[in-house]
Amino acid sequence: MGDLKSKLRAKISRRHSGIPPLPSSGTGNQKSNLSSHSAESDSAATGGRAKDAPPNAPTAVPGHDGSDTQQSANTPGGQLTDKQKQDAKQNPPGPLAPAAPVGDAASGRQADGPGPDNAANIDSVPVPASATPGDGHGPDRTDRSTEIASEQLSSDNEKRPNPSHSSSSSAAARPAGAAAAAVDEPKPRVSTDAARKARLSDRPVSADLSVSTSRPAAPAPSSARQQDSVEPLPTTPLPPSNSQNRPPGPPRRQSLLPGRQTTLIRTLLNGGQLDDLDQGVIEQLLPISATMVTRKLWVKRPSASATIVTINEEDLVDDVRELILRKYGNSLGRQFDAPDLTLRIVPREGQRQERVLGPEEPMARTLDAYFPGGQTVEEALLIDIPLRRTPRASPRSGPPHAQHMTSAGYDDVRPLEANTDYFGPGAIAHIPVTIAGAPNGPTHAISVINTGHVPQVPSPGGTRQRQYRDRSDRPRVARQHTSSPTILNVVGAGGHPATIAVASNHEQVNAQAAPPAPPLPTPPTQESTAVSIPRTGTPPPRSSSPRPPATTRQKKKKLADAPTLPAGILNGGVPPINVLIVEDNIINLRLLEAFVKRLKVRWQTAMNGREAVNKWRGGGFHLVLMDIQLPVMSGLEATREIRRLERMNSIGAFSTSSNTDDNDKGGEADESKSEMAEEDKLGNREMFKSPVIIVALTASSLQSDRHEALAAGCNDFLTKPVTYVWLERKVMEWGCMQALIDFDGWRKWKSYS
Amino acid sequence: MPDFGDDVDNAIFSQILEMDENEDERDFSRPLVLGFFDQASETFEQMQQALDDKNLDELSTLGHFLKGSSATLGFNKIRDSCQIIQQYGHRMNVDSTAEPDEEVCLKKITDALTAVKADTTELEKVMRKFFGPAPDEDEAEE
Repeated sequence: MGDLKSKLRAKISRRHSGIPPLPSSGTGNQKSNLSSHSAESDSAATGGRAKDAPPNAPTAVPGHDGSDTQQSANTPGGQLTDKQKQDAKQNPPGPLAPAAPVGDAASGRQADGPGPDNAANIDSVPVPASATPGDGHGPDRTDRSTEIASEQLSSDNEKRPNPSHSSSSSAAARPAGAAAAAVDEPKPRVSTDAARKARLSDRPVSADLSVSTSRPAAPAPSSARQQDSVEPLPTTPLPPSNSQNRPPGPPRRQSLLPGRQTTLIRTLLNGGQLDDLDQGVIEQLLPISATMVTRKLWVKRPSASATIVTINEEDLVDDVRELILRKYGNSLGRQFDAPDLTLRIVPREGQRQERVLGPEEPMARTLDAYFPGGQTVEEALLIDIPLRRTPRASPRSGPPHAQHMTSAGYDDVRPLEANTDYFGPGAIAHIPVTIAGAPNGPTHAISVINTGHVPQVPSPGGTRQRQYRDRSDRPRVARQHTSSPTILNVVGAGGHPATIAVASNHEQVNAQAAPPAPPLPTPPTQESTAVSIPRTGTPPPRSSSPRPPATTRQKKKKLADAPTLPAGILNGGVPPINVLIVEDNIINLRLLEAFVKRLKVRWQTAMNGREAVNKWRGGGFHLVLMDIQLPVMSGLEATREIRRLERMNSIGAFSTSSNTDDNDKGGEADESKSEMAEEDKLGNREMFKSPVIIVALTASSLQSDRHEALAAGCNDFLTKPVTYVWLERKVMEWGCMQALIDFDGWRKWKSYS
Repeated sequence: MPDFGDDVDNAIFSQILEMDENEDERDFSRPLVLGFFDQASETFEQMQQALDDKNLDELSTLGHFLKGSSATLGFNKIRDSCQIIQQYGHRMNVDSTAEPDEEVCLKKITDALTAVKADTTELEKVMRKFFGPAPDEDEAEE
């Protein structure tokens, strides 16, 4: 019901606002104002109305129930309604339908009628309330009829063909209720019986007529209230009786005075000396009802244009803040809560100092005190926002961008970026650092992790990338490989140009790679060469890393290590890395394979530690997902072995640290080789550009296990069960780091050539 | 996706179901899940054997092994039982305090094995019903 009601209300208000030509322009204005007003603050107003209505007018109560409305037709209006209904029944549903609507309208009015009579207080308010309830019931019982009725009403304004339902009393009643609701706004104005009668007489006539009648009927009280809410509305004071011909309302003015200050209002309305904006129709202003007065308040953000907020007379500054947030739904509402805002008032003539309004101050009175005679646009209250943004839950824990967020003004903060801080603005800043560290591998890798900016990789290289791009020799190729979905998402979320740039680079690389080159064709460092080669072979079928072992492929692997990184760069999305999955449990293995496959990275599997080491020796792996408990050789043992071999072969920080001296690397490697046992030599040293990243898969979340894993040489760990999200993250983080490293080497190679 | 209750981690399990390219066929998840039950029954046999041999180390390894796959599929109840088996195989209580009495360990493992077998059997029924007898007759739906 609640929803229905609110919807109906909304509809109603819309209808009203869109109400067709009213006899008197002044009335029209009122209506529109009212409607807008009700729309804006309907909840509060409605509540008030609902409460007020029943006591005032028994009719109002019936209004809640469509069926009741008829029965409870104590008031003359009610009787009339019945008559109307009868008429409606008599009239065939078709063209004659209008009659029925009238009846409905009348019923609605009945309910409302009493309200106006009793007190101007609830004039406009009561109407909507009564209407609303009626509508709510209507839908429940006869949704269709109600719907239709309301729709028709909305379209026709007040005409509502009475549906065939009218034949059934209950049905008719409900529609009537709905109709009443629809017509409510107009009705409120009709407080007098005369008005009702007029309507009744009109009922045969088109809805417009009825409407017009009702409007003129609007009692003074209602008008007064209208005034308050809508300053601009000042129409000629409506005589309690219907006056269809009214002079056009004066231009809009903001009402400055609280409703209680009747004298002031009167003065305003009649005296006219006070209005700053327009003198003119002041005398014609309607009387103002003390209660439920609304007024307009100009507010603006510093150096922005002012806007109006409709507040209730009783509203405190705190309420106003809430309304302001609604008004600034996008720029403020998404990031700030009402308490975050502060309102500054700048007094006229500088007699007083500008000051910040306390949340507890009554807004209207403060306004009156500061701006006797009314607040002008220039005097709009200033909305200040704290620099600090309200903390929002960030999807990713990494707060690296926090600084940015803090520093950025609210204006600067784009929600999107904020939400996807993974690639937030901070990313760029971090990039350079990451790159620098890249050579050292793990250490820097950590920085990458901390920053959480994987995509940075591409962007950071700014200079490098440019150089790269500038190279005419690099063919530009359209994307051949579908970038992994992950990456795409990332790009979409962050909208980072950098990411895109990377992708393009990848494409280029791929292009190069595409032409299968002999393993070590180019003169530059072997590594570089190797890299280029593997890329060529590898790229397309990433998803299915386990391809039939072709000679090419093996080359790829080996090459991949050094080249692998570059290869990653080449491909869009998740860095094109080569992953070794070490897992003895076939179930887990299959799932990991599926994950990795979806990530579109190449992979191989090993079922035990020994196998893992052997595969690693083949070279070309960037990342190892290592289960810890493995048969034959545990994951930790395998990790230690890999690290040992890396040391022996001078793979890692030393060699890699200076990508610059690739030559040196080679030399070192050779030296180390000579020293180490033959069995420890890695035949394809160029395949190991950097130490492989080993991510331990731990079944337990015990810290001790993790420490053990890290001590053994693992870079990171994932707790089982491994989720896709986490795996993706790790692959992104580490993969990008590796790609970075590789990129560096690749660039070197470039420069050589 | 149906709610399998507390015995199954729905988040994890649904993630597996999401890996299916076709929800009707469930080419990925069906063999994976049903394969788990084959694996489980094999493992139970080995556990029973190890139990007969009073080979706690083997029991621990087996417990760990099955714990891994059950956790991967989100079968929490099975996972927990396996954890117990693993722990007592390590001669430790569930809270990782030492349990020097191997007989106690064997006893606990026996109980846990009995329980996990029953749980697995029950879960297998549920899963087989979920995945349906055959791809074509698969009733699996969200």
